[in-house]
Amino acid sequence: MTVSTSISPVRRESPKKEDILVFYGVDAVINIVMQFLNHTNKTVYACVDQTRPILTLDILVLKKAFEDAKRRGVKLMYVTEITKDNLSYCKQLMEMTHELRHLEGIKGNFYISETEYLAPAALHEKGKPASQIIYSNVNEIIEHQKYVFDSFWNRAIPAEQRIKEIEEGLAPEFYEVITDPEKAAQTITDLARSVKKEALFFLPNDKALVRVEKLGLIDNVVKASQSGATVKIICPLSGVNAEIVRRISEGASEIQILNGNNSPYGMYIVDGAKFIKAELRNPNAEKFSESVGFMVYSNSKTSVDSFKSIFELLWNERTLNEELEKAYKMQKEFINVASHELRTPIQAILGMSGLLKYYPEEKDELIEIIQRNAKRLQTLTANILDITRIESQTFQLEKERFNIYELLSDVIKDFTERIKSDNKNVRLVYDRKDTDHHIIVEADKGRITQVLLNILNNALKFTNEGQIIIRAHESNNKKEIIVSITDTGTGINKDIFAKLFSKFVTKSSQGTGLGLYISKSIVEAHGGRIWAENNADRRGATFMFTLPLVS
Amino acid sequence: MIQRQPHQGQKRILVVDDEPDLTRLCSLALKYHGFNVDTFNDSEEVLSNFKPDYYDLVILDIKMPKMDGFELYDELKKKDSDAKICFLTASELYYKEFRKKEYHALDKNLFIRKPIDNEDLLKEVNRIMTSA
Repeated sequence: MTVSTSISPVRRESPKKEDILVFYGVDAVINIVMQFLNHTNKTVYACVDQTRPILTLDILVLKKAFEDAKRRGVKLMYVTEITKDNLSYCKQLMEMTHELRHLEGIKGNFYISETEYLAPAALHEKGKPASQIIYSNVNEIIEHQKYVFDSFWNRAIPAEQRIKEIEEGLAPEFYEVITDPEKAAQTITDLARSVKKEALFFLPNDKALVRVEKLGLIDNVVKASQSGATVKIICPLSGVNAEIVRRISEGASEIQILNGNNSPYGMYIVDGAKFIKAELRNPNAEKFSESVGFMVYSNSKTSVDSFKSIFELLWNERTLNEELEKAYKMQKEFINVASHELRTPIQAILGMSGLLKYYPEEKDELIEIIQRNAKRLQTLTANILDITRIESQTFQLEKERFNIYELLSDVIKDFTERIKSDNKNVRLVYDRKDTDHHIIVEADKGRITQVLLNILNNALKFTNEGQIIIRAHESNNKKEIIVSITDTGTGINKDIFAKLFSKFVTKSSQGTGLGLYISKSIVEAHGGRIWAENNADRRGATFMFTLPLVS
Repeated sequence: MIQRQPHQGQKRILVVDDEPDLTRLCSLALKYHGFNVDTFNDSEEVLSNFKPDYYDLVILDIKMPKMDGFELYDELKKKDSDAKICFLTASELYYKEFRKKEYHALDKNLFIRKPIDNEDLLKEVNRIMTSA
């Protein structure tokens, strides 16, 4: 093998020997490239920087040489950095090449064919052809350079994808590993400022919220939420961050925060386009930069999507968990309320029955108390059984056809007696029109009576004087009957209005808060609706429910 | 079997419960054993009628409207810091909360649990009244 140099263009029809040559001068360089193209019959591998596509097409002889090679069936595999500046040239190159790919940051150029290798020997002036070039036909060099080419080629992305990214104004994909803590803090701050549509936070511990708040991230997401962005935060909640959580809810009530578990890393996903995953190196650090370890920052679509789906899974799991905790708390509350309500009448029955033999002269009074409390126990037991049936979905109706006005008359008659025994100055009024005569419903008579009595008892409980008015009329579309009960009592307390028909909601010391929950379940099981409102004249409340009519 | 007790020097007991049936019960059961019993069903009424240094024992219900037994306890203590006050309650959650919060210093023995029969009520009342 010899190494020789030449100062003039050399024509080498068919190199016989293995040679490494250096050619000087722009013309010589162009010539040798053309020769190289003419020699090959199979494939040319080109790895060139972003300035080469422009030169290749602007130097007409070179362009022609490439076109000729293609015409002869030579496959040109071309990898370069496609930029805004060379975009139109690269589009033309796509016509001339077998395949064009993009790789960020290619420096220097080389070409390989099955037998030859070419590379500019010195860094050329930007936009000008190189003035010296290395030539070789040494097999080992060709093989070695082919290996280098392949490693670039495999990292490159299709030109089509890159062109689309540029044309749609998209940033190229990046995957950045940040080890400098200050840069990590800056990166997460910049990302928070860029939020437009959505910010998903997964914070690794309670102090993490304090740390990102110090960076100004919370202010950013609050602002983003105020301008309509969705913000979700999963973070272990404690006294450490309670104040910040309160401020977030005050600043932007739309921001959802769920209690999470401690984790060795945090995630931050913005607009479904970028994510940060940061290791928590020092959980107790005061500053973000002191807490953060290894950080990955990327806009890779696949990674963002998978992190987003991890976040959604965690979010759903946390939501479910909160619901369970709520249900558990409700259950505990139920046991507490029920046990209190059960023990009170039992106390009266137990004590009074024990006193009967010592107070024979008070017998009647004691028996009356015992009976009253036994009845109370009976009602409560029935309510608790109803709740159990409703919640285990074994609640069944015994439906029959009857005239709703007859039922109302019966209930009103009974309830009028009840009011008399209460010694309250309350009048029960049945506001019945002449046209109200015969409306048939198919319903469970006992259960509808239960609903009416529950609403009437509530009305009486909260009304010290005035009247309770019952009305019933067909809806405009004749498909249902609307029953309304209006009182002149204290009205519905605003604290409980929103959850009036939920379990254990009561403003009465004697109520269990079960009645309206059961009534709602009964009405809905009939296909009706129940609701309540405070009266416009600020006196009392009106409860209404509907039942479908038999067509 | 409850035996009518000899006169206990008319020990005075105040019972506060929002359930009239239960104040009536306590009244009858304790009077039978020679106690002098006053009752109230409304915590605010108690405050305006409370006589300091008068009662040997005050029995409070806990779950009451307007003012619960704990608040009433504080108010009564303001009027009579030496008053012996115990609780008669049907609720266990209240007891736990009570223990946890500012009342943690209070003796567990000052709580009587409903339901309780008349004999046991008498025993508890005597126990608390004679305790230090």
